[in-house]
Amino acid sequence: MIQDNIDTTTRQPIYPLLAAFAASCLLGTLATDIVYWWTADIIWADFSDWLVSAGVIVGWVTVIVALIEIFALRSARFRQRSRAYASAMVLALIVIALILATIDMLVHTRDAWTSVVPWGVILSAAVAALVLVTAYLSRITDAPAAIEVTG
Amino acid sequence: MVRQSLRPLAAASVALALVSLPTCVLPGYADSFDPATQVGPNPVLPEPQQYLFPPMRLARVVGWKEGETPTVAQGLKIEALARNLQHPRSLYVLPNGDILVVESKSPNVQPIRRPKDIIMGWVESWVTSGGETGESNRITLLRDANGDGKPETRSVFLDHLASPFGVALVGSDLYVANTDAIVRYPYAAGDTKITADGTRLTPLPGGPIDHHWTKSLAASRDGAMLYVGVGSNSNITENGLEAEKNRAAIWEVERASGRWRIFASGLRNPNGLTFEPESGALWAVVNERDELGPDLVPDYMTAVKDGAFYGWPYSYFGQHLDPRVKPQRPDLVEKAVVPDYSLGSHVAPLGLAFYTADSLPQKYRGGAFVGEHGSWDRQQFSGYKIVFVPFKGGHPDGKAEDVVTGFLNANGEARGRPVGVAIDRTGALLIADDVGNTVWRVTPAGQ
Repeated sequence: MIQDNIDTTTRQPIYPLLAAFAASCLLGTLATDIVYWWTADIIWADFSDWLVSAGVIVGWVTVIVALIEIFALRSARFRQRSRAYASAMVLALIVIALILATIDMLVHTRDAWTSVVPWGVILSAAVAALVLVTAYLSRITDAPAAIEVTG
Repeated sequence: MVRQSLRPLAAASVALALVSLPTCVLPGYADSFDPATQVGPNPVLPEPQQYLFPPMRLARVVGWKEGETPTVAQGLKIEALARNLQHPRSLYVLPNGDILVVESKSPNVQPIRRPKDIIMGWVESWVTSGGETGESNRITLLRDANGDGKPETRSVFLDHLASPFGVALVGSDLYVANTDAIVRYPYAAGDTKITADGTRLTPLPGGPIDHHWTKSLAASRDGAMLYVGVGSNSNITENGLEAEKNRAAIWEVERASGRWRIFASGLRNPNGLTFEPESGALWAVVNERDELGPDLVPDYMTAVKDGAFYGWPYSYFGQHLDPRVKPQRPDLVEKAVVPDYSLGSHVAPLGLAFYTADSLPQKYRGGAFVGEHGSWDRQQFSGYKIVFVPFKGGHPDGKAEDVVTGFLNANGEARGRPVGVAIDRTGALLIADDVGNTVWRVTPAGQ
């Protein structure tokens, strides 16, 4: 029993940290997209471009790390069925958000106005909404963000 | 259990991705458009399209193997005048027949403003260099006094230049258009090397961003004025409008004082500045914008009118608006001039020479040779050849025809890419081949 406790405290999952980074970037993209839409000042489109690219790349890394930490390391909490369903739903929402964000990233590789308006800002808004919903669901279900990985 | 509950949602996500991607991407790949309809004064212009992945095809550079040459039209012969050059981009024939080969490389100063710049930098290096690179940014002089196509001497004429492109001689003043300035050097007939320091006549827009860096140069017939092509600093304003100040234009520079004014504007990347012999009008070849589809926007050649605006960035071929430019300028678009002669989409014309000599077959007299560097922004290659545009009464008259081809091999790899063209003292056509590191010489067959 003592051994178990040590394991749970020393082996915290790292994917929630990555998820927070990716989520911040993807929410930021919506903000900079909106400013570009209002100002047509290209520097805001450049900001968006970096944010969405970082959000997408770190986002997919997060999913891979999360899958390893949740399944490969076999969290004890997943033995509880309701938690497993909730976590799966959250993960699915994250994957959908990332697919949309990936398309958004490609839209942002266009040049000037149409890299953002209209499809860039629409996709960024959809991604931001999904990120917020996912964050809220993670909080009330306490999963997957709060899962401790046990050895 | 977890995996089972995940499966339908994951499947739905994948399905969503599979459905959404092709609908955004596929239309342009099914390209049934006939590029021949875009050669001439009234090109067919399809609707603009934008992509998640723009159609793209890059020609890997393989170089010329022993004995390989480009292919020429009937009645012509081609041979290498000089090989093992370092990225030769343009040519200038001095009055005594000496040939200046401008070897030049991109200044490579473009800052990385966004992730795409990293990708595009890689794309560019893939298609514009053939591996190891030596000294460039210099001018090599070739002297072929007996005109047999085998230069007796070859010397470094000017060295340590800043991405030079255009050259013009007025009397004993030799002007070199570096990417950041026009520089004057003293020249005496017969010189094979200039050691004197240059004098800066007029600064030109160079860095910190220097997207279209080639500065084409021509002197007016009376020698009073120089004309300089200054390309845009972006594909379509993605580096900001401030970066485009005094760019996408042809400047008129007063030779005596160095003072300048914008002669014509809205020309995205004008090169090959040359005076048409019959009308005396200034002509240029212009590279138009990318990423609106494989068949937009056609590159063109045009007489450049004083004070005229040719559309970039707001519109193309007159009043066709570019959706990527905000804020728009209806006042400018309204007066945008339609260029004279379309050469085709993405052919990338960089060289222009009118044929006023008489050694090549009769049909070439008075017409224009155009060096087309070749495409990257479409699935089927276009350009990668020299075309001839017949002229009559100072205007293009008829379809362009291929004169020199075969720069691509059967696998779609680039053995060379043509850039600048010039006519030598014997009336032969000279071609600077930048990735093939060769100057080619086209003469009549059977000579």
